[in-house]
Amino acid sequence: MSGIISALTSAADSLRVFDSALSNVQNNVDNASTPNFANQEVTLEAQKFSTQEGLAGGVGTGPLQSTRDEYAEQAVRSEQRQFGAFQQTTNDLNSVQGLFDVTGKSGVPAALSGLFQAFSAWSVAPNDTLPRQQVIDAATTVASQISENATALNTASQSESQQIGDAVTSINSLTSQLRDLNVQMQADFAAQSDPGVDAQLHSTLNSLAQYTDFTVLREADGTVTVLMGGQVPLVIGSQQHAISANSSGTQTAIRDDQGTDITAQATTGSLGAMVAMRNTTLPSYLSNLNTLAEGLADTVNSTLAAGQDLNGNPGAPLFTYNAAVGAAATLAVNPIDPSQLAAASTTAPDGNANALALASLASQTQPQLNGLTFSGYYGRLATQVGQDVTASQAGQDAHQQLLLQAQSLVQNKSGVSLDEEAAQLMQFQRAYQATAQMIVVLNELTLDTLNLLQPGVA
Amino acid sequence: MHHSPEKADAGLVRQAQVRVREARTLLARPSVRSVEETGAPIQAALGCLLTLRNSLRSAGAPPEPGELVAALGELRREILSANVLLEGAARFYLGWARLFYAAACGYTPTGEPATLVPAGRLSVEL
Repeated sequence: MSGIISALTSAADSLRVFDSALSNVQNNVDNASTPNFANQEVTLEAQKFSTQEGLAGGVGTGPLQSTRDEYAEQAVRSEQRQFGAFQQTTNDLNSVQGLFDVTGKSGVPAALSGLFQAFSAWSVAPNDTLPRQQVIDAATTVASQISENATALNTASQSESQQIGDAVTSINSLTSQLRDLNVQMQADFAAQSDPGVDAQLHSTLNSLAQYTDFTVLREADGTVTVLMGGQVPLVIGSQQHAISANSSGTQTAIRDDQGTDITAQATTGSLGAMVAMRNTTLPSYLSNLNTLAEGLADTVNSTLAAGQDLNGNPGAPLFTYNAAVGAAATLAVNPIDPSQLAAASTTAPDGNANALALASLASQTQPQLNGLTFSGYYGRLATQVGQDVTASQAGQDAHQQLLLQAQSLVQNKSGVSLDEEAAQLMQFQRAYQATAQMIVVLNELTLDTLNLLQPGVA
Repeated sequence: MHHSPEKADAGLVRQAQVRVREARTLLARPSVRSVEETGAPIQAALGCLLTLRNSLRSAGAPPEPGELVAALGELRREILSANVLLEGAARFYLGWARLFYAAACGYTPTGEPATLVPAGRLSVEL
């Protein structure tokens, strides 16, 4: 009789186990679209079988095992950071690229061209008022175009400061959520193995990864310690360490909750990209524009000063600027009378030697502009901006693909045994080496073929 | 119906592009198996390009190679993109291998993760 009872008990246990497995499958299906939910697996354990002890054996459920592979999660976060950085840089650069005309038909290049044409026309009729006024008008256009570019760069820098502030607020909000999850796990042991809490935790970490670089340490009590740049604590147990941004000066500084400058830790993610844009890229563009403005104003003014105006005086300066505030932003035309422009040299007061010298500046290389002409220097700056946009867009495209790839790797379950995992890794190595070689050959063959069509181009 | 040599050549580049795109799709989800399967489409793309190169060497470059050059440029971008994905997969597996070997076998005296050599297998059918 006991044999029948234990057999029935065993059968009932088995049914319960399979019911539990089905519930788990249902839970996985229900959470298919929950962000960062990791499928849970029911582990089955053989029960002890002993006729002497009356144990009927059968099957029982073991603990739920998460298939999440922390290593793969980390790879996703790493790609998320890099993608976030490139995406941010591309957006920021796209907004300033429009300022820099590379065709030469508008903006600063067209204005420079107009100024040198005005000098040339003036040299034909050096004593006439009309061409003199045209020189002043063309100079006004150059000054306003350069000044507009500088103002737009300064506005972009201010907008960057605002965005950095917003990013810091988002980071603090996310780390506050992580702190709350830590508190939940400390208060309730079961929360550590709750797939919902786990999904929330990973989703929050992934969101944080878009902004900045950080290391996550999983503590024994299930809580996470988050260190920005691997060093600066953002969350430790139930403590959140909020960061702040200070953009009041020319450079933005990121500070920890003790006020220490941690800008060096903000190297990647969208925060890193914004800090690099505000502290390095935009100032570099502006510095080039200042060099151009100063170079142009100084060269034109010194050429005019070396000549003689219609009243027999040395020529008055055409341009003014304030180097301390920024030559490009403050470049303007001196309010002078057209007669004060010096078309003649001091040795030939009725001639046009000085106007000719000014017209020839169009094609003269300038030592203060790295040996380039004024137009050439601006063209190089515009090209640099274009190249930066292209490089950033290429990085964004590549990391978008890599992010999708990393997300697909999270779905892969790891091997079931050491042997199988080791064999798989070796198999991957062989497949990788073979494919990499073929891709190298394919790339070289494509270049060879391009060379056959366009020798020396590829 | 005869196709011009330029059109035939551009067709070969397009075929190669389709094959490289297949490889890219496989590499976007880089399991060990899918990386192994990448070899076939890449080899097919190589075949198309070899045929094209031989044809160009014997017949010479077409008078207006613009379309062909553009198609090859596009192909090259696809190849570089496939390469980015392959290197991404390699970085992932290399990192995983280091963690896995270190966890499974510890470290060598020089501090490198020790390599686990999978045991040989013998299957007997009765």
